[in-house]
Amino acid sequence: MDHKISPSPKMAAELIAENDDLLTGLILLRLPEKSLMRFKSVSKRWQSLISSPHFAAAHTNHHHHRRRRRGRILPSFILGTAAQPPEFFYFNPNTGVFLPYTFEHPHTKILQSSHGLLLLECRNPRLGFPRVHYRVYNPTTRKSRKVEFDEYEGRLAWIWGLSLSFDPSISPYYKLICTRRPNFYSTLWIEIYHSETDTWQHITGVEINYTPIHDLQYWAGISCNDGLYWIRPGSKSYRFDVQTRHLEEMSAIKFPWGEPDSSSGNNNYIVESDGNAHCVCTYFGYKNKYLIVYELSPDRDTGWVEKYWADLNPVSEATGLCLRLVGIIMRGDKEVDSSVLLHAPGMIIRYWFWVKRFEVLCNFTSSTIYKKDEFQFKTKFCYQFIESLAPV
Amino acid sequence: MAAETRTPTTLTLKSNDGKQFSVAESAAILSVTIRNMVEDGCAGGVIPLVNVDGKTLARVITYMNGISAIPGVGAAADEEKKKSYRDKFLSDMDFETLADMVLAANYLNMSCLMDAVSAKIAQVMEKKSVGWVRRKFGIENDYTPEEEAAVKEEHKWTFEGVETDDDN
Repeated sequence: MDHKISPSPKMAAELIAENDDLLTGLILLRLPEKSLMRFKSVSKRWQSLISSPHFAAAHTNHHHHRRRRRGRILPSFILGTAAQPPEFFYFNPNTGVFLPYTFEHPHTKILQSSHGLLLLECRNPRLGFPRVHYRVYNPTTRKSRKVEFDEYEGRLAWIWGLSLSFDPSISPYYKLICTRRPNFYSTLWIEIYHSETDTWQHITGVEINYTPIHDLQYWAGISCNDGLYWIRPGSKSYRFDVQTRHLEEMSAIKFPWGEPDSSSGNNNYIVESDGNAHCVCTYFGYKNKYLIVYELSPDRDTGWVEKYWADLNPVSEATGLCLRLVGIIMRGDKEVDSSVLLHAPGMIIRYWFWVKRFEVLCNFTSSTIYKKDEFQFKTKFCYQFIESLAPV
Repeated sequence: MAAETRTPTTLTLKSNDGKQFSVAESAAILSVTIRNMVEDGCAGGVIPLVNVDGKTLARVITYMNGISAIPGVGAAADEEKKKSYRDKFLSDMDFETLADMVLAANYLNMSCLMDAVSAKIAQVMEKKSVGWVRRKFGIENDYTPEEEAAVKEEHKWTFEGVETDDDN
């Protein structure tokens, strides 16, 4: 770091800007993701530095400590409408900002969100082969990578499921877990894709009892600290440890109020928040609306614990009869902030469990998507958007 | 700091614009750069710091004296007090001064100060506009209007809540 002092002394900031290492190490690495994406517009050199995969990995590593102590910053969300194809919106519960969000591919469905990366299913709108492909996508940087599967005997074996395992507190690189059956007679295979090396690892010796076809749907896994969870309330749930490649069956969720049954307007949703898996059961009847949140204890012997029970009648009385879940925000460090995001036609509402109060964060009744008395967004199309530069 | 058997020494630090400052060695060696120079045998004479000007060096020395004066009780209490000191030390500095400080802390290899100043700079910059950044860092915009519009469109959501550009 020897630079001569020029005759007309330059400002320190200019000296920093002239040296890539100083600029990256002293300034860029410390900035939050949103600012960095904006500062790509400063100059082509800044765009190139900020977009480099090397910088992205370094930034993800540097900031993973921050994620565990997020303080009062809540994750944002991407909300999908029920239209065909769905339209998406970016929603920030901190600021109430609500903006259209477009994916590069018009026929996109979000399969999973994991700590800043999304797993997308992209459909080919024209009839043709292949009908779908999958992409790992970073909504902050807007970079994506297509998932390429290995072929067996010259063709693609049946894919039963695909999940994303990504935890920046462990590594800035992600893994994909794919369950396949090479042919009708074989047992399931599990394959792991390592993005760090761009290779697939095949595991055929995984201990798993052969189960009838309709019971095996390894989609929409949840990536938590210690593994990948496939949770189906009312059915078998599994946990897969990506490091040891061990698959185990998990304890069932006990529903004290009876299992939610979607025919009567009740549902359950599996979401990850604050590093833990949660099951949110909604009981949205005509007269009574309430919601229960179960948390999967990190200590696996304890299993599922009922964490919050929320009476949402006050919310529906104030805003209109209908409510739908958008997502949950659980804060292990600041319990008073733990809350649920709800959707009533034309608005997004936050309900705090601890203090039992609610606030309308966003009113989009003047938006083109709004229709009176109709929901705009589908719960299953709403995902957390965590800012991250993680490389794909 | 290792226990020393010789009597406390004072060092003379010289900035690149010729100003000289006396500092207790125990405070000065918070800078690994200075510590290395002392170990290489510069203690007798004057230690030249070619990449720091007098104004910034004076501030750095205030910091060194302040931090080394914090009594060490327990490691955690110590850290709280030091962090508190750093926050106060940086609290009324403008952006240009912070930039001087971060370059100096980097050259002098003072990692705690450097981290604190970097974090403060990030805090200051976080909500600033693209125009502000170009002005402060002396950067010329090499995008064509079309290119710039395309990059902005791609990251539209990041322009919400930005401080409006003013001429200061």
